[in-house]
Amino acid sequence: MMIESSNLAPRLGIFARVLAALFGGYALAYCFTAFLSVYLPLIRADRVVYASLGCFAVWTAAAIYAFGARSATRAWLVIGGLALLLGLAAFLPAELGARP
Amino acid sequence: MSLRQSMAGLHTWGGLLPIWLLFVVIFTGTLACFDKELERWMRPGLQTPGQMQMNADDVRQWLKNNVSEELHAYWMHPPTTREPYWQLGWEEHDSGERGRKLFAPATGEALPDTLGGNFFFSLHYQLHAGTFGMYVVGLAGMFMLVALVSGVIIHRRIFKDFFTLRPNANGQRAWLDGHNLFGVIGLPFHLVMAYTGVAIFVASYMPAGVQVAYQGNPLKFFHEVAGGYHREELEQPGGTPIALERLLADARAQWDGGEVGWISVHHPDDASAVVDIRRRDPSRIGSPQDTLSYDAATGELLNVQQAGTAYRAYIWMAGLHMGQFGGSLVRWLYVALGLAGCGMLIGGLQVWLRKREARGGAGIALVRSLNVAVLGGLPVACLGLLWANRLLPADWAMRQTLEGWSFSLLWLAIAGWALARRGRAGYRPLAWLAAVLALGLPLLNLLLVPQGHLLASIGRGDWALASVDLTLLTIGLLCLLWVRPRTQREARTRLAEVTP
Amino acid sequence: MMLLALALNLFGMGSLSMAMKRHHRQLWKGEPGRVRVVVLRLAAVLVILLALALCVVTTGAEQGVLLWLCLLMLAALVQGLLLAFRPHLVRYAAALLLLLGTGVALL
Repeated sequence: MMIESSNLAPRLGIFARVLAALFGGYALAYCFTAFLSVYLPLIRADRVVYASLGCFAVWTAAAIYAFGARSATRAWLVIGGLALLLGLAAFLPAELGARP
Repeated sequence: MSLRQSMAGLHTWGGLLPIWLLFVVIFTGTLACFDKELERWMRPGLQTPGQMQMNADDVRQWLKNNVSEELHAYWMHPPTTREPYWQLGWEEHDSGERGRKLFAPATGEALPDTLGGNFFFSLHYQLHAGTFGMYVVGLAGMFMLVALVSGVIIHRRIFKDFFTLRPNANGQRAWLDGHNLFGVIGLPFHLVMAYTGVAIFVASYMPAGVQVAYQGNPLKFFHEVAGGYHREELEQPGGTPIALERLLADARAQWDGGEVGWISVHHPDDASAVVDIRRRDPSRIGSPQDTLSYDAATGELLNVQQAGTAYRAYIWMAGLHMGQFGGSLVRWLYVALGLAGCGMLIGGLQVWLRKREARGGAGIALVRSLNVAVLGGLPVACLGLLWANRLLPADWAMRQTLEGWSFSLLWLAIAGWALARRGRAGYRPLAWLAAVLALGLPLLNLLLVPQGHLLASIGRGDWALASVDLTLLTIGLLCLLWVRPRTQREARTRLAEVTP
Repeated sequence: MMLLALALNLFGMGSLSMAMKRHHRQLWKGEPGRVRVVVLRLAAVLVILLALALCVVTTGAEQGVLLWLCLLMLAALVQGLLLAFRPHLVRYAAALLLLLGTGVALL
């Protein structure tokens, strides 16, 4: 059964959204957790716990957005962009995260 | 595409894909609410009367007599109301292999191994597939969260239709009503269970915090966050260990009469051996984090645990999920709501099928087969496990393995039958089988377990044990009710089907 | 005590459902007037809060709220199932359970 060309674009779009939800969403949750683990004004152990507990809400929200966004491209730009920003802010300041 | 349309697609397909796995998780989770009662039911040796009162040092003596390998740690738990046995576990130093034994406190005897009620608990959170299974269940939990949120978004009249259930409406409408009823009314429960469920293993699912704050060293994080005590091995042989019961008495005194829970001994053969005694308090949702650490040889109190607020919040979430606090009322409510969750899944499947039945297609037969295989097969396989537990002789070394095989083979057989019939298999034969198995178990008890059958347990006032048999009888009767012919004509047709 | 709390919740859910046109029509002729809707909803809120108070006083705040919420969900499920399969029992179910609950609580 051939995939007709008129079917291809929407199918690719859905596939891109699935990837955005699964992998982009996890990446965003990961960077969100790292970001809060660095910047929350708490002791180190508590920062990590609260940041981690919230990550599932972020992943869920990202997955919903991946399919609700106006286009798959936009979904990837927003989710990926946010993840990149949070990730850089979390991992660049080398010693800040490790402070007790 | 509007938001509602895209969310509808996400809900339908993101919901369908993991639905059979989610049914396994929710159904076994529901059963696991009473895993300790099932554990007792599956160990009739507990009912043998005796005069001994086994204590912690007796348990340690058994370990010394029966396990010669050097141990990394061992742990034990005193008898409680719901678990009236000593629990012992150990991990070997070199191989990392673990062992487990339960003891009847009245006789001091090691109870024969069985998969026990713990089987359902383990199936629930890791599908008996170790770490890989744990990740699969976690992913399923994420799919469930997305399905719940997308479901709320697409539900048009969430308040107006709050109580709406029209069983006489056309097929799809009625099932959608049911799906919505169980989903919306139970929404707080479904959301909280799904979220807390994945949160329990957050340390495995989300390593980002440890990566950025602990240089990727999870052990450092675990020791710091729980505020517990950890002492490195000294590589020297240890002295004579002090009597555990003395330490337990000291612990109880420190807690003003508080109950002792888990007792763990770390590197017991080394000079650095530490005895951790954890407090037990089933009246709070979050288990208390009051561990006392003693030197195993001198009995000196080395540390009182100082758990931070965040860790206690995490423990609270875990406790909320496990429902081991309070009495049996909470667990019965969790069972009712868990069954509502299963109802929500079944309703969703019926809606999916009926929407596409008119069009036909390859997917429909597969979905139908999977439905019968999982929705029908799993409960029947669970009943089969209980039968295996009763029929297999207690002194067989292979008993646990054979119990497991009984469960798996029965489920595989049903699944194979369902798939071979290509969507034409029905639930009736399974309902009959379930009725026979469920009603047969209390009868089997009468024959095989003189102290543990229904009449004996009621006579002793042991309602926890009796409730297992009573529930089995109820399940059997409900199955019979379900398969009963509704009219005279149907009765004649059904009879004609089975008589030659 | 918990039985009484469940009964109160069931009563409350019954009251809430009767404030809806579709379900009011199941038990009485026609739709509820605006005053009746307000009264029914108010009664529901009061009774449900009473159940909450009962749960908290009996088992403490932490478990009390949780038990109440679970009982509330169960009551709503029972109410939905009653309305679907045995609507004529709705009138009696809440009242009967209330009596039973009070009786058990007083014993």
